[in-house]
Amino acid sequence: MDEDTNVRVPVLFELSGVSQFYGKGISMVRVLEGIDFTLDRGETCAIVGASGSGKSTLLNILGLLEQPVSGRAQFSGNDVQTASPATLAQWRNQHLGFVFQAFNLLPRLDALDNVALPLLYRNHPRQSARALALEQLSAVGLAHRAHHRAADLSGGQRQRVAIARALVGQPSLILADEPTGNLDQRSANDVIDLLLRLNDQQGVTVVMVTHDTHLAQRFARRVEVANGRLRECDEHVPV
Amino acid sequence: MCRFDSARYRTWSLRLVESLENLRAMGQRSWLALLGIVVGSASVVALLSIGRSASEETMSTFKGLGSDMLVASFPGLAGPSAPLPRTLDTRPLEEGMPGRVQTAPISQYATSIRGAGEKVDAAVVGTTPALAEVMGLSMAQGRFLSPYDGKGLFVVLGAEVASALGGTAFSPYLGQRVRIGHYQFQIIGLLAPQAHNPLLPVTPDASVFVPATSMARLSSVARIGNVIVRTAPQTDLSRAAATFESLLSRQLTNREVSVQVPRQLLDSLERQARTFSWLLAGLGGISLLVAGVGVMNVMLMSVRERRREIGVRMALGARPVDIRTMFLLEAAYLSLLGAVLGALIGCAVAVAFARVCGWPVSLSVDACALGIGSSLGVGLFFGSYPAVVAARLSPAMALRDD
Repeated sequence: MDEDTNVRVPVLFELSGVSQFYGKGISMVRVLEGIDFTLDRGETCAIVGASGSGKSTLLNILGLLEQPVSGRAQFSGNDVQTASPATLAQWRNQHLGFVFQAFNLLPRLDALDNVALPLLYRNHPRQSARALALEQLSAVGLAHRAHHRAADLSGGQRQRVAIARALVGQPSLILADEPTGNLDQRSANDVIDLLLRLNDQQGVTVVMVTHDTHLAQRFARRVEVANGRLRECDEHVPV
Repeated sequence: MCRFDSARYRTWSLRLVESLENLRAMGQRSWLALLGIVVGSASVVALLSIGRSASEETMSTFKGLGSDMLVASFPGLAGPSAPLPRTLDTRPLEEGMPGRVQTAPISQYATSIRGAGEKVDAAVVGTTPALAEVMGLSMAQGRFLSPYDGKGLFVVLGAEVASALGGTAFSPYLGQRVRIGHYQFQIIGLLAPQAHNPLLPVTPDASVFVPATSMARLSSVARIGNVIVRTAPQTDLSRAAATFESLLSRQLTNREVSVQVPRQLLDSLERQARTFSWLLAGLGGISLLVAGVGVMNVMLMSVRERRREIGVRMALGARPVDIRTMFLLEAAYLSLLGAVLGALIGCAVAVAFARVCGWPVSLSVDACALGIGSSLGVGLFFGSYPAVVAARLSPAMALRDD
């Protein structure tokens, strides 16, 4: 999958009739059932739903972290189900950025090395990876914390480091799983501002899972997952 | 091509640094896994070296004591129909053998030696002057038997016999006489203490030596019992033994002749000692195997604890091969460090053990190489399963882990 194809295809992700279930036989749990979903480039989309509704599973499928059991999933026109784990890893590395609720920074590394990690998996030289990482940390206002370990940072700072890490590879899609769940109101608003600004200024597609309907209101498109099915929410409120 | 190579170099240098940092972060657990490998490697090296020291100790007792010798004996009962001679003409034997050989026929019987009221039990050995050179006997005083002694009543005393006789007022010196049977023999030489050679039929320290031709006076039954042969260096001993057997049979018709090659006995002893070393190494191998299971345990636990980290790395673009390599390198570091440390400790233990036992210290490069190589192999083998387990994790499942 080269860069040109990426830009030419307006649809970033397309799911048709996608189902996902875990386990077998009597203990089988159906999480998603026959979902159709199209994500265009440059969109901002909030996925809302109750706990256990399957919204994180949907995000995992969009994040190429798991492959659906049935249906068809296409990322930038490429079939996800037939791709090897190594290919999926490469796509994640080059096109996706993740922001998790639990931040998921590697505790042993300092902020700078955490941010540089995706570039290292891209075979970037360490020096230039760290230079780019520092640039990204400055962009989220944390250059002065570059050499602090993740454990020494506050929740809001950690999430900003995580966002810097998601952005350092210049992804076309940012996937955020309850990114404000562990933050206070002010930090939460900062994070959402940052994500929406990225969309606005750089055209990055942003998908966020949240159960906070107020935050979801700030996204151009909202979908709700309930009982394994997907429903578009009616009102579209521009940011 | 150049770019590709430098990228590969970068990847590997990064992986090496990263795995080392991971191990450091694992702290105590790394040390535990390391300890297992150290013990395993140390026991392989130590047991192999100790086994070798033990076998060298055994071999040093026999070495030089017959590595170029043949010993002829005459199985079967001596009787009137097939009597053995009292003396043997060794010239045709020596001429018939390849290279320069020396032969010494031996007839012996046990009796008491008396001197100045002391009585000592000893073996009286009737032989020819050649025995001194054949057996490498060294003198403390005087001389050994000579061709000019004829049927003279001359005797050479072994070291133990001499000191037993010298217990009280009587001190054996050259020219003095001792009584053997009904005859007074003149002492012409005293032997220095000789190393005991269990491969030869004579114990020099506990014997006295008289000319073969004098034996007829002492015992009517003493007959040639053995012929000892020292062959030329680098002789094919089995072929020499066959030649000697046929030469001797020609002289002693109607007697069965058997020629033993002490070298063969030495070889089989050496083989046995080597088997013993390998047995010990096998024991070391078992502890290495246990160490390997320890490494697997620690690595599996580490994979389990670091599931979330694995998930994050995968989400950021680590391929399964990257994860597998990371864990394999951790196992490789542990094994390499453990193997080298263990080999050093093993060498130290082997040296200490050999010193305490008074054995020769035997440290061989191949014991160390085997110890290090097998520890590395075991560590990598047992480390590969946890690495594969880690690489096969689904990123979504790994991230979900708390």
